[in-house]
Amino acid sequence: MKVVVDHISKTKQLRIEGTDHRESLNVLRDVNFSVEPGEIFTVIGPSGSGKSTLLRLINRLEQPSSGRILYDGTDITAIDVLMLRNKISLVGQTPIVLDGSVEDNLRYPLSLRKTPLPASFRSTATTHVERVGLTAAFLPRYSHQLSEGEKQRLCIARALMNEPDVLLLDEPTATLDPTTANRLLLTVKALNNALRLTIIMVTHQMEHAKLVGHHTCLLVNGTIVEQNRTEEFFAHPQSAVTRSFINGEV
Amino acid sequence: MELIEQISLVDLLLAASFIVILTGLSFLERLRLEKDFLIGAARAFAQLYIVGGILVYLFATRHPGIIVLFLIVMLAVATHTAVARQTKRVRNIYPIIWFSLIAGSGITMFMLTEVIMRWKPWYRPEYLIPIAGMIIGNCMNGAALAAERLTADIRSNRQLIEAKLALGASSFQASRTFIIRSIRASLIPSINSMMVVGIVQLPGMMTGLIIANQSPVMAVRYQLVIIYAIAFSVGITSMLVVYQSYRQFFTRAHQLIDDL
Repeated sequence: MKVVVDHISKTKQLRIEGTDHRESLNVLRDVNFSVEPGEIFTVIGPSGSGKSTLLRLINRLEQPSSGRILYDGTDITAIDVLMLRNKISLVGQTPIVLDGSVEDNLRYPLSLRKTPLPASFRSTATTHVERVGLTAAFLPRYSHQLSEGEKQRLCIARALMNEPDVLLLDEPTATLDPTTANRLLLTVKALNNALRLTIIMVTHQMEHAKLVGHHTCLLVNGTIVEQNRTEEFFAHPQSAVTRSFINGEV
Repeated sequence: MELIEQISLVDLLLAASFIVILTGLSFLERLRLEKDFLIGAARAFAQLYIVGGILVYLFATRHPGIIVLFLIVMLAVATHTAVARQTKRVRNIYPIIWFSLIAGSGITMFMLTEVIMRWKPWYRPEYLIPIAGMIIGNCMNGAALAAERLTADIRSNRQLIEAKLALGASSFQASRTFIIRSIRASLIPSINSMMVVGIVQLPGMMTGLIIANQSPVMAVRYQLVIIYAIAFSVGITSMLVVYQSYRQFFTRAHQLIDDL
């Protein structure tokens, strides 16, 4: 499904600890882009540029100050928010696993529904853990004893249990070593190929965007500086800021 | 019924010597608690004498309006105390605790006066005031514990709650673990007191009835009624507090608010 981010701005009121004083911060300013069905769209930018906030707005964990986000042509505020989060799943930067086994984690999204657990649950769970590079042997394991990379994979598999159309990945490799990070990125690519899953991935590492992104945009200080097909973006950057970012100067 | 042994003012002064001796020991041992002992003792003296005076007045007037007004004052003080104990206050905490205390203690008192004890008339102050005091006091502690625990848990588990929301959980589903923990935490003192009552020490009401020459069997029955009623009222109050409070952390779109 197509996702359109249409003139989105977000201002946050930051509390100054110990006082009643608040400071306004423009996290995102007039952000526009569209993501075609089945593509991987990467958002790169330095820390604090508003990348995570952008994903949180698409998943409706936060409300934009202005602008709108369209999912398959419909404003996301017109869609039931719980339904929307099934269709557009967000996997956060820090892998958060729930108490219990890997299987318990995979059961969680389905347990939220009023319908009984489908008979096919186990086979679906096995399919998804295998898709993210784990095996069925992981299902009975205690989730808190997994490595960081395995936890991140579990979080992606758990999000897949909702059969989303769009997967939002917020710096999925942030807590991983380079080898594990590369393996995870290949998994992301494989998921996109196998499921025709639309993926919006945020990263501050250009190499990761190059490896998986069909389209890439650069977000600096809440503003989109440039967006293009990934090869073009890195081969022929139009903006001086993009060139500086690619050269590691931003 | 025989009159209980009287305590004269001289006897009371002799009892105050406990505090005087303790203050002297504190001075000798450099505990630096002398001021606290003296202020504490003076406050206890003043507060109890004032309450005693009010009770004399209430027992004499026997006017239901005035008795209910006194109960409302007790509830207001309990609400304020429970709110004041919160290190980080939830939005609308005053009306939430006020309503929960009225409902939790009100339902319990109604059951006691109309179904279980059936005093005639229902507002008999010598029964209603002390029993309502015990119920409201315990509800106040339960409400304060429940609200404090819920706020602390939700503030320190923001990432976990948002991970659940992102998977399609409603705000209730995402905070359910913390809702349960808070209610349990508020009920543990009541459960503990039921577990050890009579073994470690005789509870206040039972002691009072025994000193007032009531049969120990009757004292036991009164005490049991009170213990069960307290557990019930604390449970209802803390459930009401928690079920209203958790909503204050979320928007209607099941988003955790920024400013927890």
